[in-house]
Amino acid sequence: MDGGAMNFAILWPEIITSGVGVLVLAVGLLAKGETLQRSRAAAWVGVLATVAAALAAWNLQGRNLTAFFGGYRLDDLAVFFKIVVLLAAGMTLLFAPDFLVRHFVRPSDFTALVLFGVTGMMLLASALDFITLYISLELISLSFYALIAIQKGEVRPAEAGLKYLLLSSLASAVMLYGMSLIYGLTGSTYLEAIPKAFGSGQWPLLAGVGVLFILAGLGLKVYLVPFHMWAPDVYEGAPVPTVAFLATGSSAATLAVILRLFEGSFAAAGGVWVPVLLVLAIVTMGVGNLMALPQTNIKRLLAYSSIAHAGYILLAVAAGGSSGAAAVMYYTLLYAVSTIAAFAVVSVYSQAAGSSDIQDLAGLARRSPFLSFVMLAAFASLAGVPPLAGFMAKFTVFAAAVEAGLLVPAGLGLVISVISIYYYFQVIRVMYVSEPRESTPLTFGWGTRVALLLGLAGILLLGVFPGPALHMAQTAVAAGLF
Amino acid sequence: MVNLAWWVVFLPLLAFLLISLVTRPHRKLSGWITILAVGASFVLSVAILLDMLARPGARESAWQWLSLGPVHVELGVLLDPLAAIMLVVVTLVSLLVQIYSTAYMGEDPGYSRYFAFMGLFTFSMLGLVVANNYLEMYVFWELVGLCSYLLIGFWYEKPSAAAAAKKAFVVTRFGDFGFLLAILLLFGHLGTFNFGEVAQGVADGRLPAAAVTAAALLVFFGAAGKSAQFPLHVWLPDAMEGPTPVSALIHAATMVAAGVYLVARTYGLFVSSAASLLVVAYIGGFTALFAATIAIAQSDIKRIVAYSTISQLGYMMMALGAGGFTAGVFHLMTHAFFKALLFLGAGSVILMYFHEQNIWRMGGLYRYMKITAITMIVAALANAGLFPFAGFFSKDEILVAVKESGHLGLYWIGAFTALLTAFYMFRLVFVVFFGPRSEFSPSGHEALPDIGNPRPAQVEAPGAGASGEPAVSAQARAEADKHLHESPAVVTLPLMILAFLSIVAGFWGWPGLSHGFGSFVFFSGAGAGGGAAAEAARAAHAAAGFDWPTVIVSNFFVLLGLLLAWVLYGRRRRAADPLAEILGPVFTVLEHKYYVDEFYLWFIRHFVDGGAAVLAWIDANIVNGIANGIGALLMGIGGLLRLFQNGWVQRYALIFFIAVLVLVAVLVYREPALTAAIVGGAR
Amino acid sequence: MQPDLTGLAVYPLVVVGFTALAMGAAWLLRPKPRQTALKRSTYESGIPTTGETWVRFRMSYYLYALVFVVFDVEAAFLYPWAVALHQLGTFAFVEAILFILILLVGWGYAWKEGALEWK
Repeated sequence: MDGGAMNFAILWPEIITSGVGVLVLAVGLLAKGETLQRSRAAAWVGVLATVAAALAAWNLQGRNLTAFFGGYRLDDLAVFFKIVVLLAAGMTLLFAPDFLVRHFVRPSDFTALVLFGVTGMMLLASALDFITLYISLELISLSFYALIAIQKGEVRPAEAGLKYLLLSSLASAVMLYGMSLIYGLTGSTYLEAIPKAFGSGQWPLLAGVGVLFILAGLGLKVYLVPFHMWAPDVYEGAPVPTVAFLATGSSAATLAVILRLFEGSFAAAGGVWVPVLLVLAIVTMGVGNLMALPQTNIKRLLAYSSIAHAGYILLAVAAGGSSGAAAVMYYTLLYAVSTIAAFAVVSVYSQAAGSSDIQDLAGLARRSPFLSFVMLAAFASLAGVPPLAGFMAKFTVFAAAVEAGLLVPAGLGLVISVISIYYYFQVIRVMYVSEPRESTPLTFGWGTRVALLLGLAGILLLGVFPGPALHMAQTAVAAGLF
Repeated sequence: MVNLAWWVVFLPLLAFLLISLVTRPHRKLSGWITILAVGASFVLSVAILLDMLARPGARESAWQWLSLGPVHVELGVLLDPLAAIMLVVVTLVSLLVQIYSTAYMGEDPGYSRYFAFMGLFTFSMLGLVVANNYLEMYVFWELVGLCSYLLIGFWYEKPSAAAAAKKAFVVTRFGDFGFLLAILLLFGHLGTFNFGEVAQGVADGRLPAAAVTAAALLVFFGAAGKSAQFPLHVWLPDAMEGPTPVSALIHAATMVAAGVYLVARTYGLFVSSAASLLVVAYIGGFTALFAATIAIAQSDIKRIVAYSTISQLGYMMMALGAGGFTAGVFHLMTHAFFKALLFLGAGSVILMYFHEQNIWRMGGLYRYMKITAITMIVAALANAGLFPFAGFFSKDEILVAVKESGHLGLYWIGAFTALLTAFYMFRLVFVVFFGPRSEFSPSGHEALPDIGNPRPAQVEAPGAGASGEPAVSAQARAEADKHLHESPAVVTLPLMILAFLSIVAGFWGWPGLSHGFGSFVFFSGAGAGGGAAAEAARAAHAAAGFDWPTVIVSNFFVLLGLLLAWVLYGRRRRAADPLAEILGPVFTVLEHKYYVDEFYLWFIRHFVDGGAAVLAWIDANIVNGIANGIGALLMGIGGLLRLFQNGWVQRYALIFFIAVLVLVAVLVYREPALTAAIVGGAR
Repeated sequence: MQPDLTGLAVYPLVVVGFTALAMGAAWLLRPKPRQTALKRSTYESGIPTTGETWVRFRMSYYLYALVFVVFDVEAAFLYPWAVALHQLGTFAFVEAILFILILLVGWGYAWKEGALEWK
């Protein structure tokens, strides 16, 4: 296999995050008298690591090369997703310590796990064979098993962690089965070898089964209905910072590999998966948006909102083409920024209220105008109100669908998306209108403040100036997937 | 000149940013910043209009906003007579409303916030007016919606205001998705968003006829949402919950004008599809009549004016649908003046009554506030369309246009609506300004409340006062009289300016006038104004005179309505509506606005919420049941699986596997025809 | 391209056949004493069992097991590395040292967290 040699220079982002992750653990090991407060410094170190890794990734733009004997691909697509997951990790680490310290979790442990997770995500975005893909996916999952259940002695997080462990292993198993089928038929684990093995002819039925198994396995990570069942329970049970990272980083990295697989390796088998994915994407939008309506817990509501957004993104995947892929990338970025901003707000208020009921948001506008404004921006963005980022994202998705000739699914999606206005504004109404149950102003640390400002800036700037990000996505797609 | 338009649009935004970032703590300064910015915009708009009058034609300037594959989206400015007129109208009304607001909102704790939002609102509307492509228009369109949400819900402490804001946003968003669908449809066929290019493409027949009709109807659906056409009109009366100057701005120049403007801007689509024109005309005509009948039975001063707005918007849509492009736009302009005046006048009355809005608790105000009363009467006459007020000229043109298009049914609907309009306007005038002094006096409010703050709605059923008139002592009445006085100059000055415009603006549309409105704003096919089409329009306009039968019919109906109002309300003695007895149960139906709101609520409760409930039920019962059923089956087969069947997570896993099995089954037994139907030719 | 799969097909037959043969032969050849309660007990010559077989193991057991598995796998990984070390050169040596170091940090973490204490 001619796939380029060992080239460690292109691994800097991964080396930085994994190295700092180990370092954080090691320092925690040696430091005497480590207290909760002192270990907050670890989170700042983690933030610096993500910034450094993001800069390193930014520097790797425009390389477009294959290395490590065909197992690793560094192209602009990978760089884009690496920056997205680093952004997710960095923002999470910024606001997480406040929450963690209050729940007696050492921020150093959390930081190390997040850094390991983000390493896995970056590797996944670059994976070019089934082995790398699987190992990276497991690295992500392993980090999350621990991250979800990190509140020792609490029942709900432990339950959520177990659920995620079981269902995620199940998905991995099904996906591995699919991979083994394809490997058996092609004799190769390299993604780029798959289309070559089948040539231009009809794909055998067994390969189709393999493709669908992989779709199911990866579908679980990106909330594709009906593989989404774990999401609401896990969102509700897990600590808020974990959920923020899970909702954004994990699905972003999985979407990178979905693009590479389905737009690249399985493109010729479109007849097998495109109709399936289209129908499931529409169902996903419908279930996500409708089930979000009666929710009373903000975390469950955000879970269904994640599911609904997965529907839009997967519609763009089904639409395909360069506009479809670019729409997926842009949507992922905007979704990450908006969702983390929303979770940062949830994190602050749920600490104070001791629960994450939507009713406890009552009167947030008076307790902290800044928090409620960020929440307003995040939710308006997720609802797709122009000129915020969410509108441009939805627009690119539906434009890609129309361009691909998918008029009926695009129309259906638009109709369904109207529902989302209702539940997002329901929350906003509670924030701005209802009487607060207590009037103490909400306080939060500098990290949280920076995370909120970053989110707000992202929501506004990505919406008003979508050009640069979209351009980056398009050049990445134009460079090809292998 | 085109570059000036950027300044017109962005100055109010600058005011918004400046206030929200810097001057928020300084109340007076914040107010002045917005007034200055909008004032400057107004001056620039006038310059643009004068330039446009001297050299008519369309001018465009744009820069690349983003590129989406092969398609490039611009952020641009398109100036033509239509846009130039709208710029002046929007900035003028906005400026007057803001001067007025310095008094109306003077005591409000959210003064700075209010002016910041006003700046943003004006910016959005101006951006919408100058947009040169569909997508840009959509963005500003949504911004207008968002601003109206913020302003209608300005007093968000008040649950009814917050609910009204949400209703306005959700209902108009419902229309918006039609607009977005239309944009995508046009983009899918033509690959461009630019107004000119789309119009050219439609004119060249590059779009199938069915697609043109669909796109036009979808655009109209969006316009109907914003312009409150039946059946999407329900949000507008509720939008009265916002401060009264906001209502004036929304009703006169911004939000609701956006819908009519959209139809005018994309008129090329409509003229290419006779069916869509017909729909626009009939929905417009129906709305005009429908809203007018509701207006005669309302007792809240702002609601009466609100339904009058819906009715007048119906007129405009009817004109556009009947091919009367000029008439519709002309009415949009004159209506902006007298409707702003009506609202500001109503606000002046409400201000004096400390936010009382029930007309049956008012009366005899003419003696105390002459300027308000006279300007209100001017506005009412203009709205009713009596010669020589502004409304007469524009309404006359509409009726002529409808007559020429041959829809005689619509013509008589329009004429009859004129009667109703005169009736409900003068019902308002007689009850509020003449007749006996109100038995509900400000002294009933004990201490003088802070004006800006909302108080709970004190509106009760108007019939209740019939039996027992509130006993007000002579002393209390005398005390109350001291509080009845004319509003300050910042309130009356805008009223007088608008009253002047309501009288004279119509003369620009005098039939046969050279350089009249009709030779300036007209629809000239796909291309820009100018050339042969312009000459033809100018000649046609110059040749036209009054259509005497229409003039007689409309003025007769107006006078008849006025007379009826005088007979019923001119010498009122008590606080009840005599119309209620005359019309009986019909009145109740009208008073309840034909129960449309109730129907929507019922519908949402039973179907939309029901949809979610059904899904939840399926999840809880059927999916659960299947899972349990299969679980039970497996339990019978072997005891081994029972070990795993002790948590819900097992159910999830089972569903996961079933779904995978179904996917594989679909793959194995797939139907090529079905696949083709789903994918629709892609891939 | 397709490998010859005949061997694979024969393999399960051999497995099943051999197992059946061995078990059958044992059943045929073994002495068959009378069944008594003592004969049926779990440990015929040991101490009598108490309680049920369904007991919960201590949490610490799992922690031990996890750490054990990690180092078990490490050892398994180091065998092929040691064999091929001469061909792979210095670079592979550094890599493996890094690998062991990372595991050591993890082990230290587990120790510090008290995973190795039988509480």
